[in-house]
Amino acid sequence: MGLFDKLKGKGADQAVLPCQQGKGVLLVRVVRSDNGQPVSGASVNIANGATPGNGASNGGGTASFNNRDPGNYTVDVPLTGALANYKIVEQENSGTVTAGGTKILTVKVAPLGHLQVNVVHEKDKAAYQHEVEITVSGADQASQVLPGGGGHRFGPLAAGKYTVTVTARGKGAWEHRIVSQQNVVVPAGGTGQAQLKLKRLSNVVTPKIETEYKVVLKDRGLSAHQAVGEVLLKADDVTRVELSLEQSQPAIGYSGKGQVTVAPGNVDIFTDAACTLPLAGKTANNLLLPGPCVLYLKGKTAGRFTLELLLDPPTEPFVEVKGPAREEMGCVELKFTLHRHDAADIQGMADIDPDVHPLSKYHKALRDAKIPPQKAMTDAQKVADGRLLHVQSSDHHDRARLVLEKLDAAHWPAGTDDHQISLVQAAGAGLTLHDKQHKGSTLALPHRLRVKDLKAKSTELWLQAGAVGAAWRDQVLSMGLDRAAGGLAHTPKLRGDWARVTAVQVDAAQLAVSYTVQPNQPDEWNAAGKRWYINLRPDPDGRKIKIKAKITPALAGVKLHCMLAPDKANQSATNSGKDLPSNWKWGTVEAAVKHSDKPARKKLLHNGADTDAQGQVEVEVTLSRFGGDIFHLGAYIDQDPHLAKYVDEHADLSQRKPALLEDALQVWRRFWYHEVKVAGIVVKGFGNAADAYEDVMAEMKDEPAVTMPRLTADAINPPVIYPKHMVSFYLNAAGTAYVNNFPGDAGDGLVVGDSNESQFMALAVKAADKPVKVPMINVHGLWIADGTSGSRNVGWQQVNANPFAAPVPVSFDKEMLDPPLQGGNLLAAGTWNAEDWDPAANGGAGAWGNPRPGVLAAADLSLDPNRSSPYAARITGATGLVVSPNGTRVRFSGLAVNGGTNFLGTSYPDGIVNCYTPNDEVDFINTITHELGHTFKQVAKVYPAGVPRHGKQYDQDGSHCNYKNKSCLMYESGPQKVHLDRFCEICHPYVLVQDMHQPMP
Amino acid sequence: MLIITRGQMEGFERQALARAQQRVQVAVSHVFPDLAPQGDAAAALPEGELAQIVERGIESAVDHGLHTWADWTCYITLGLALRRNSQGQTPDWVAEELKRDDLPGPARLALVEHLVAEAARDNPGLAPVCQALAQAHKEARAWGSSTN
Repeated sequence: MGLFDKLKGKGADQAVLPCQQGKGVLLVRVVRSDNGQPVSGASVNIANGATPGNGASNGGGTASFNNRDPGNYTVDVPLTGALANYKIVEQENSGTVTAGGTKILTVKVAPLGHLQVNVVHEKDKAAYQHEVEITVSGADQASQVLPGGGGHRFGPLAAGKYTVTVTARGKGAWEHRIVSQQNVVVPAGGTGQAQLKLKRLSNVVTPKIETEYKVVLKDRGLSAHQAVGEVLLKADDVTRVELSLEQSQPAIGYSGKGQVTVAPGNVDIFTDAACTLPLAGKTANNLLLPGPCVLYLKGKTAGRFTLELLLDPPTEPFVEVKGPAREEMGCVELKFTLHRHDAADIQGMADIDPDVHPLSKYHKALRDAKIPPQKAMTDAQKVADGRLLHVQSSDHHDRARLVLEKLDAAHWPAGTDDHQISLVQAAGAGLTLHDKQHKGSTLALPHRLRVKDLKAKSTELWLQAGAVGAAWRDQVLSMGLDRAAGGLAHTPKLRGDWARVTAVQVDAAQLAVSYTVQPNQPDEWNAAGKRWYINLRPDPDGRKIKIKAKITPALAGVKLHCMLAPDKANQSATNSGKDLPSNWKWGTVEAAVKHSDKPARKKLLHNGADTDAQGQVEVEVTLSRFGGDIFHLGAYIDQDPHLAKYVDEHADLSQRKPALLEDALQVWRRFWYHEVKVAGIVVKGFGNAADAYEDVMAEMKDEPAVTMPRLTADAINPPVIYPKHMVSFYLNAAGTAYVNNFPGDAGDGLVVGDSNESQFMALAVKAADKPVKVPMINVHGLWIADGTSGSRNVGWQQVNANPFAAPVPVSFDKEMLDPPLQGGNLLAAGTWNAEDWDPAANGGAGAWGNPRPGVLAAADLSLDPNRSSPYAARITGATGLVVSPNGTRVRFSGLAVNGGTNFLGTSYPDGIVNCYTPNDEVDFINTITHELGHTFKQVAKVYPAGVPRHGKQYDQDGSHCNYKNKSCLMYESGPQKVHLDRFCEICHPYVLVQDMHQPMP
Repeated sequence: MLIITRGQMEGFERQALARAQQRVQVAVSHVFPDLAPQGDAAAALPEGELAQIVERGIESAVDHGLHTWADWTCYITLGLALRRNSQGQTPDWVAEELKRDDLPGPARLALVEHLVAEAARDNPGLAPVCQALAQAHKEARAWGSSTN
């Protein structure tokens, strides 16, 4: 059966018809507001509406009004009878009824009751006796203001649940100004109870201390060591603290003061940053509120202390004072130890003997010598002296040892481990820090360490200068305090400890030989040629020079040491032409001829002096006596003692250099020669004689010649002018015969020898500015008297005339000049015997007869202008002899001459005579240099101590050298087949070390 | 003159009822989309089950004096919602109110809906019932009230 059929039986046809009847239903629900239960028996009247009616609510609380004409309806629910103690709490008492519709109106009613509300203090539950407003809301509403607090009974009120609200009124502070209590029940016919608690708050005043740092620096008092008039450098020994009060209820206020104390009294408290106004009495309230009250703690004694802020007890109600506030703090001392080299310690180093062989032993000892560690400076030294540093350059210079001393942990309160110890340099300084004394890593300034780390151990650093300063001690290194940002603003604290540094630089460009030639004094310094002539004053004074060094800035009182750094090639062919012979042991060569630039040869430091106001020093040192030695000038400050070890081109010891003037000078000697001439007579010049001396590091300088007037020369007796043909001979190449250099030359020849040289030398003018001057005369012949010759006889010579038509040659064992130098006649003795030819005698065969003697006269003997030998003479006649027309023969007996002898050259005490040999110009120059060699004591027989004997020296007509094949220019005679034209390799070093100040007397 | 016979009238009524039944079923399925065969798998009813529920609901509604498809929709919605909310049981007070004889069916249904809403203020568990009823009224308004 389908739905239609099912419904048909139930009158379903109605379901599909429009079922509007034109009426509607009005239902009025009456329920309790407090518990939602339906209220039965309540009268409900339709007060207004199309279809009036009255009714009452049924057991379900609903009053039904069917069949109402559509329209607006208003109902009225009078509470009477059993509902007399009810009240309408909420009512929807009007609505519109539609046709076929159902309108439901709800009226909520509640029985009546009362509500007692009490307001108490939360703390002690006592009645709250200040003004409040109480509001109740819920089933009903009411409110009441209670000026004196306490409680209030509300009612009648609709029974039900209420929210009770109490609002505190007036000035004050409460934890909650408004408090509520929900679900307060007002019972029907009874009195509900509610107690609300108000918590009135106190102003809790809490003192607060904030610190710039938790520590205060202690001024170590270094400024006491500063000079009068200086701006005193004080430690930043003031730490700012800020005191304030925190109020939980600022509106309540607090009028008390605060008492600030420190215990123990390691610091003083001031109210101004300059610390001129000590804190006195209590701190006023108006400084603490609103605060901060800024105070300044000035360090006095190292150690921990407690800073306390104690507040006065409150005088106002509802004020509670906390505290006191305490801050654990410390007065701390920072200290670093700066070190410097101590001159006495350096001086106390073990000797390092430079006079050892080979020299490399000295260099090794020098390298291995330990320079004493730097010595700690006192506070006074740190300030008053300052640490002197040379500006660093290529790691050559030393650094100052800097030890940051371990912090006293007992002085540092908790919370300071991350504070920073900072090393700071003053503006403009060029200092840097390093982890090693030499090389290593650079640590930037400012450099910071954690307090924690420095509490654990001290730290070693090395301080280096990077730029010159402008004055003594104008660079300041400060050890201070800093911390990370946070909390109060802070400024870094400086000069917990500090030291001053003077940074200088030895100006290498200013290194020089200090020398000014004095009037009428020799010029010892050839600045352009870098030659120092050591022989122009007596040895060793002539070797003393002054090194000029200058520092920047120009400061007085800086100790500078100056050195003569020998060139690596000294005593070798490179610098001196010849190597020092291997048998010259350096260790035994006496120190007197070596260079000297130290107060004591075996000590480290060189001669030194304090700079003058211009920042300069002049330091005397002594050059060696070895011609050719080259020296580099060096200078260093006494705080760079390691630079005293500098050795030119040494693998190790040349790595760190002092200020240097390389190849500054070379040891040379200089002498002058002064030629004496005779007017009108030209002999020969000196050619390239100077070259042989340039070879041995001596300059041979020409002086303008002095000329003897001819008349003077002519007047000298014995004579000095002979015909040239008479005076100059040489052996032919085979050595078998003499050759006359000027045969037949009757020109004037100059002949000077022992007997008259002094008259020439006397003409040489002495000059103070040329103290080593050798007069020299070049002559055609150097002759000296040589006594009477041996007796000679000449057999019969037939002559036809007297004088003889053909002179009779005769040779003697003496060379001859005529007149002889010893005076008198050439002929010293001689007789003749003659016989005439008698043709009649002997039976007509003829025979010699008429024998007769005679004595030769001076005129009978002369020298042939064309003679070849200096030993040859000739008899040109026989005085008294009458020649027979028949012929005469003559013979000579007992012939003797006043002889002489000649030399190539002679070195006299007052000068040298050189004989010109036109047959061998080179040998003539060798003669000059040879004789000069004698003048300067060659071949040397006296040497500096420790120098071995000259192995080729021999004595023959003076001290000579027989070096290979007589080749040395100091061989006794010339010319020689092999001729070096120089000092040989044996003589050379002796000449180098020879004192050439005075020619040999 | 057009004369409609009783038989013709019954035919019209059958069609109108069928159309009303269909509307109610669509409305209910809108209120409870999970009950539709295509709805949520856990709650979906077998094919034809919703039609049977609607048919039984209309039959019961008629028994309670409800004769418009809108009231049927609300009645069936009330019943389904209360059963869902009360483990399949309709509260006794609802049944008692619906049986009252002093009020016409629509008024009883209106009162019950009012009481349910009133009760829901203290019993949040009845909120889904109120929401379902509100949806049912919305469906009814959408279709219009004069198509029965």
